[in-house]
Amino acid sequence: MAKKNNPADLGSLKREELYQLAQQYDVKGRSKLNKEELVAALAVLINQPDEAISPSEKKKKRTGTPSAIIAKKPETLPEDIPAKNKTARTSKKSAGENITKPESEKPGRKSSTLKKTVAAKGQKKKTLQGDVVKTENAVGENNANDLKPAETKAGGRKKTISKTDSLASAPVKKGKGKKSADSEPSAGLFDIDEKSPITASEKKESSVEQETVDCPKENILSRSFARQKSDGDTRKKSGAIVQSVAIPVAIPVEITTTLKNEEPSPKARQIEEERSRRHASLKTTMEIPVFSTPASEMVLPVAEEDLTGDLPADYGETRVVVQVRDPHWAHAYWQIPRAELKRLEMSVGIFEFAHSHFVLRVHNVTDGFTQEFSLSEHARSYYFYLEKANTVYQAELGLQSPTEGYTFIALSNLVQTPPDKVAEQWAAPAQQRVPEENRVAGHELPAEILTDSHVAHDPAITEPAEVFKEAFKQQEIPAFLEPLAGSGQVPQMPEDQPSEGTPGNEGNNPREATVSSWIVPPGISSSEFVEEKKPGDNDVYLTMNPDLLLYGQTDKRCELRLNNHLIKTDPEGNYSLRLNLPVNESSEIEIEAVEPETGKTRKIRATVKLEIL
Amino acid sequence: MPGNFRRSGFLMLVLHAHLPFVRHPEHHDMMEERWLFEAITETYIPLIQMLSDFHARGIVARFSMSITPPLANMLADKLLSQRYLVYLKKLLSLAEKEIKRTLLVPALNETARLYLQKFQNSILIFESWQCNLIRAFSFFQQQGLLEIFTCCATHGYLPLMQQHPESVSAQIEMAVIDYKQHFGCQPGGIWLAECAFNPGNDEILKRFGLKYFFVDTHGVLYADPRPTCGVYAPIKCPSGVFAFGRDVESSRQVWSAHEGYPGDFNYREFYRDIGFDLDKDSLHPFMHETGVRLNTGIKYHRITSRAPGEKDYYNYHKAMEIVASHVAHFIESREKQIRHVAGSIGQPPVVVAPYDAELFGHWWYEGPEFLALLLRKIAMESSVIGLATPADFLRQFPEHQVAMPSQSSWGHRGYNEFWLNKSNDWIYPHQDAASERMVELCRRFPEASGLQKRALNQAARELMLLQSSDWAFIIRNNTTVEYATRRVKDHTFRFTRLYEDLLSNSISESWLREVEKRDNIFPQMDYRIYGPDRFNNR
Repeated sequence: MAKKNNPADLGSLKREELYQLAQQYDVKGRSKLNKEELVAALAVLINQPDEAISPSEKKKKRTGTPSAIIAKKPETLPEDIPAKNKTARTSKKSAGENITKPESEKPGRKSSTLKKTVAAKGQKKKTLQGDVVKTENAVGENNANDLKPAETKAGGRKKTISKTDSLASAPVKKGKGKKSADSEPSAGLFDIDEKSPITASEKKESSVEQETVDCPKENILSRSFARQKSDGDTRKKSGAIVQSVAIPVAIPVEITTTLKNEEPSPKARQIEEERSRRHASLKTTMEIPVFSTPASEMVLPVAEEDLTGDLPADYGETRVVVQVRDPHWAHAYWQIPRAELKRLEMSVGIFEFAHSHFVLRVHNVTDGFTQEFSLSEHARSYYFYLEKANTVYQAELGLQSPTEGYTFIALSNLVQTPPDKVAEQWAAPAQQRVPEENRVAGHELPAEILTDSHVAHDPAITEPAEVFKEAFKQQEIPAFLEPLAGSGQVPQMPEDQPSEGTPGNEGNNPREATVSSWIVPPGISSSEFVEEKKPGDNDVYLTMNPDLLLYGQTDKRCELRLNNHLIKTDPEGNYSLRLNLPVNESSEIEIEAVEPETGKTRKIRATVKLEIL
Repeated sequence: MPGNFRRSGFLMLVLHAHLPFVRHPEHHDMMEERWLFEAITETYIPLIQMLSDFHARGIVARFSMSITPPLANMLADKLLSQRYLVYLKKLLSLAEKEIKRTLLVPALNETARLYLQKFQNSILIFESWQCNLIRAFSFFQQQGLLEIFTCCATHGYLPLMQQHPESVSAQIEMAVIDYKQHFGCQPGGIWLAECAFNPGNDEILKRFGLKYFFVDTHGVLYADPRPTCGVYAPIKCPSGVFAFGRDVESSRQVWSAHEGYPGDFNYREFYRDIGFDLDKDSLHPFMHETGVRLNTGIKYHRITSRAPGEKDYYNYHKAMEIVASHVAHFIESREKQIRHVAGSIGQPPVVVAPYDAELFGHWWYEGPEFLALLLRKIAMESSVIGLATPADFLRQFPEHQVAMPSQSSWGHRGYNEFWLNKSNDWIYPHQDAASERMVELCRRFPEASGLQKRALNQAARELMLLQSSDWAFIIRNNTTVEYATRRVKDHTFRFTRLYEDLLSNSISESWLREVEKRDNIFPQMDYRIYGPDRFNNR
């Protein structure tokens, strides 16, 4: 059984080890705790009696800790590990002959009769007398006999098992008859994980002999499993159960995997029954589908990092895509794989290519003319102005070189911009077919509305369409009210949110379209101003002077320096700096906080460059 | 109902209920799941309370509502329901503590007691519907109190999906399938996510039996050819599907902070929550395990003034008086508007007033009371305004001018800018690539089965979740940017791995199972909705 850590031991562990331990003990808010707090939190859990700990925690405790693994690791390394495992392939017959019955069995353990069970489809269920270690299914078809860090292939995706894990299981396969001198009798239950390095080939082929198998310390085996188990959140209740025998051995033989059955709570069941009784007559109790994954015999834990990752750099295809932003602006993005770039380079020549630049040609398909925009080398997307609304456009990406001229790369999709004014042609009147019954009973407008007197009061209304003009006379372009979609989001206070107004249109400013005493965000970010330049603006005076706003916080007692200049913080340690930022130049920023008493420092360095395209 | 159609015109109240799919079984207390819990307590349960009241009193006050598929899936989800009960019980405990804490301040104490009562009612109502509010909404629809329609499957923003018609089609088809599963019937129409329409989408709607949708005001005003009734009558697309245009005036009265009702100084201030005002010990056990401060829903102040700073205590009774005056004002304005328009267009006008459902109750605390009183008064007292849902109106007035609405949305500046700008345009190359790959998978595996089929269905789920307009919205809104970014990356990553595993025939069952467990939206997903036959030959 794994020894309990005491607080003194905990104190000597590294932060990472403590954190792993905290994960195992499910310490709340562990990511926010400092080292001392982690030690304190763990000490309570480690020292409390087992009864006070939940079953899952008990399991974790019994399986040891990552720190224990780390500490014990050298002991688990046999000096002379054979390159080939022969013991694992020991005959089934001898296995049966050599196993002895254990002296006692723990309550709740399964059969202790030695038998061999050949399971269908690559699963061998083996029940070992005395050692009730249940496992189900095989990880894959790899043979983990090699003692280098084993690779197991689950579903074709390689996963490297850590050296520790591999070696922890290796002694099981070690030479015949060799017993670990310091092995201790095990009286506890040990968890095993399906990700264990006991591979299918071993399970299939090794009919384990108790006396012929070399027995390392069983707790080492169990600890290694426990460590793996911490990889994922989807813990299983089952695992290897290792029971002590006269000669201790820990061999996963059979696992019964029980899927986590998400039974409704008693309260929920009670509610359901009550509801069924009271509302049996209602026709609302349709079967709402609940997505349950198909039952399977094999469940492997999945590490969190296998479920999340960064975005692909590219998709291996050359493409340019145009998206309409509004009647006069569109966005194009493009992707050119490295191979295609190389091909371009070869086709125009290396020197030429180095002096070339990408261009975006925007074809006005409706009217038949083309605009061209030069693109910077590193640009991957571009917003461009379109003179004419309600028009079909298509973009073309090409390379412009000094002597070779234009080289076509890709053609985009066709897009149509929306209109920016009402259509010239009126729609034909609809022949309203009022249902017959409504001609008498329904659709009876009040007399005062049916007469012309009401309309006559307003001479401006001379045709039906004037009605909506009248209704919306304040707004040539209708107010576009800001939806509060996703309203569960964290709101922002008004002082944090610059209101983006349209001069001269305050009354209909969509930014006002909100509730409570706050103003819905956001303004246009400065980057958009940089990107969105209208063609033909060359004659118009325009400057841009960017400032950089730096703000943050440090400890109250610290001195703060920005590029070696002392800067002031407020009593809480907050600082806020507004710095002029040069255009097209890199600026090095270094902020350093110094604690005067201890001399400890913390630096943050950054490079900022604002590049005008 | 015929009596209702004696009126001069109609008010079509539309509530758009939507939240992104924020189910996280991998964390036991995910902050984003509280978006759902807050909306249940503050908006959906008060709406059900209102409907129950109408049902009990025999009041037929028809309004319409879109419940988006992600929201429907979350409301029907057992894990989230159980978590909601846990959340609510913590809230209840906090409210009980607040009653004690505020004993010496009667104004606060009275409000605290109201909160306690509200939370107690929430538990009763939630449990009485078997912890599944979809049953409640479905029941009241069957009883004729409201009309519910659907929305794009994962609130996908259609105008930015145009180069992938299969994706547009799948968003619509899945929405219809999901609606049938939850509400037991075919939806009459659809609320396009963000009210965003692109000409041609109507053809896809028609394919799946949807008869109407909504556009923003300029979507109708800029329609081609130009409709003569403006937004006061729906227009008929060449495909035969109807488009209702949003009325500006009624929208402004509710939405606008300055002109709108919710900005009244006597209404409750959203931004003074005890979750931020109190010390952390006082907030136990409601505090999040990370120690991050969050809204509790218990707020003691009224708006008081436009300026931030000191706020007066909230007085519920005074707020209810204001609600009554606002209801009267709204009805008077609509009657005036309808009278003004009705004589000119030759048919009873319809005033389409769509709002985010979460505005009522969550942002505007008194919103549910406003709605209840408004609907009741119009239904029982107004001789000018009739209440109508889209289906009601089209049943009575089936012919309208034929015109194609213009591309539009109800977002900032009326087009796509809020979902396509420097902050969030990096999303689209990945969405587009995944869309293309999904279609490719469909072509390669037209009749998959077993594990392969599961992987294909999950790939379709991941793509749809990736296409949710919420991520771009949140990023642009600069609120929970990290979370939205993570979601985009996760769904792209999972889709990409599924795609690669399918092509290399190396699907990991365990990995797939875990992803299915997490992203479990649309149990009835059939990846073939991305198939070419689905799009071309229907």
